[in-house]
Amino acid sequence: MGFDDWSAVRLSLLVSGSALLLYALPSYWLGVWLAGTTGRVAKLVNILVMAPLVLPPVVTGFLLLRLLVAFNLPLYFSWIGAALASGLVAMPLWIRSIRIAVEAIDPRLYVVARSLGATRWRQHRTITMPLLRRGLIGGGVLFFGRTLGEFGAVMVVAGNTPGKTQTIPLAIFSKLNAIEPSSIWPLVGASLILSVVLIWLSERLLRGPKRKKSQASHYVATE
Amino acid sequence: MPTSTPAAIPTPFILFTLVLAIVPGCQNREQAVQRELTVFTAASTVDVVEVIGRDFTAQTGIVVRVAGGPSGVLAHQISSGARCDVFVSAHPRYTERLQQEKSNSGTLISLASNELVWVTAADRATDTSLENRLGIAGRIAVANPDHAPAGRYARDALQAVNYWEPLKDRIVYGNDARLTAQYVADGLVDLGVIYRSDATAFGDRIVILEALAMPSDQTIRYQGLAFGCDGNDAIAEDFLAYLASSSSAEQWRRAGFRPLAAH
Repeated sequence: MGFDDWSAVRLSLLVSGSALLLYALPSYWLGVWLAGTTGRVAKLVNILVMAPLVLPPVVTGFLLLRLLVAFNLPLYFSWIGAALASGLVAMPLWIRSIRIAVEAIDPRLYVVARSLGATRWRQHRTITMPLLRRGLIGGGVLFFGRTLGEFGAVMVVAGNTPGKTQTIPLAIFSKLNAIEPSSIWPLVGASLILSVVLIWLSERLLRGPKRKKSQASHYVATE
Repeated sequence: MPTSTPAAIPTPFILFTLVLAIVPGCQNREQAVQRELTVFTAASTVDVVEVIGRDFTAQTGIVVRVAGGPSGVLAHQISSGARCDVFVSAHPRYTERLQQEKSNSGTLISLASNELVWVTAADRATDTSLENRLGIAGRIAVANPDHAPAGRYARDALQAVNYWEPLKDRIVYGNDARLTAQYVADGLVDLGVIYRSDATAFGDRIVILEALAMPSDQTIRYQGLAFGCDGNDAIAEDFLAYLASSSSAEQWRRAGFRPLAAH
């Protein structure tokens, strides 16, 4: 791997890692809130935060760039801008996983907790938090993976400067169309390794308490 | 039970109908293809090639389909087998490589030249002295020199006057020529080095400060390469000749290029 290849891998991890940190709290909060609310405001917010899932990422990037300019935040052309852009595109995946996990919680648990005098915060800490763990982790891994692969939004917001904003996909794009051809295989290999590690990691993190096989087949038999 | 439901139509009948539908399609293809050309053209030339294509259609009745993109992407698509009759490239390296790869090396004509200019956004143009602005200015936008011809030319030109090294840390790369010009027009950077044609395309949103001369052994040259797929050779060459003709020269000039009209 050449110097530029390494710097692309390092930068990708930096960008995706920062995006994970930047978007963790908003995604958590929005996921939990959207699961428990059905008001008109919630519906509108839901549409807004889910929009990047279906919008072309170039459009999402373009809108983010306009926003940064409008608020005079000169974060464009920096890796922070790349993290903001790729995270915005990936955020719906995380929010949705958390929301689904929260919605799957049996409401009777809360009824019981309330009857025992648990405060809202205590309910959240002892019921919601442990039970959405899988949604949080699974969604987080999806989020991370999605940010690693983001091209369009990063390109628009951060440009394509090696060592500064050139993440793996941008470096591959650049090599694929280079005036002087060079091998793209090191970066393709790096992407493959990263994705395999990510999937392995998510499987590991998501592995809940081990259930015995006989028990599982028992459920099937009685169904 | 009604026999006319779709499920009741026997499969062989459906297959036969499909075959009937496909076979004449194959036979007619050559005829249909005769009236249509696919042109892949460098992003910076899309507008002008579209205009010239419309003129060509008006004169010959042949429909010209124009697909624009970074020259490198287009060259990559063509060498991967994309159907393309005429390719207009912003850098001779791509046409050279394609000619080496293809068994049919096609006809190559130089169409137009372009120029690099130092630019700034109209609303930042309070001080139009490049010298002063280079001293104080922040970011400078240049297209990525690894894959965008505009950036490669800009790097070569800046290196030739020993500007590249001192300015290097302030330079941000746009992904392609047009996007780089867009950064300038939006005022996201203080200065930019872009094609004169792109500066022209953005009208009064971009102010040209100075031209940036290319090293004496280099020119920014747009080349057209006609392959002609599926028996399209003749009209592909016709269109290429039309792009280079004196009747198209005015269109090139209006878009900010210098036409290299053959006659």
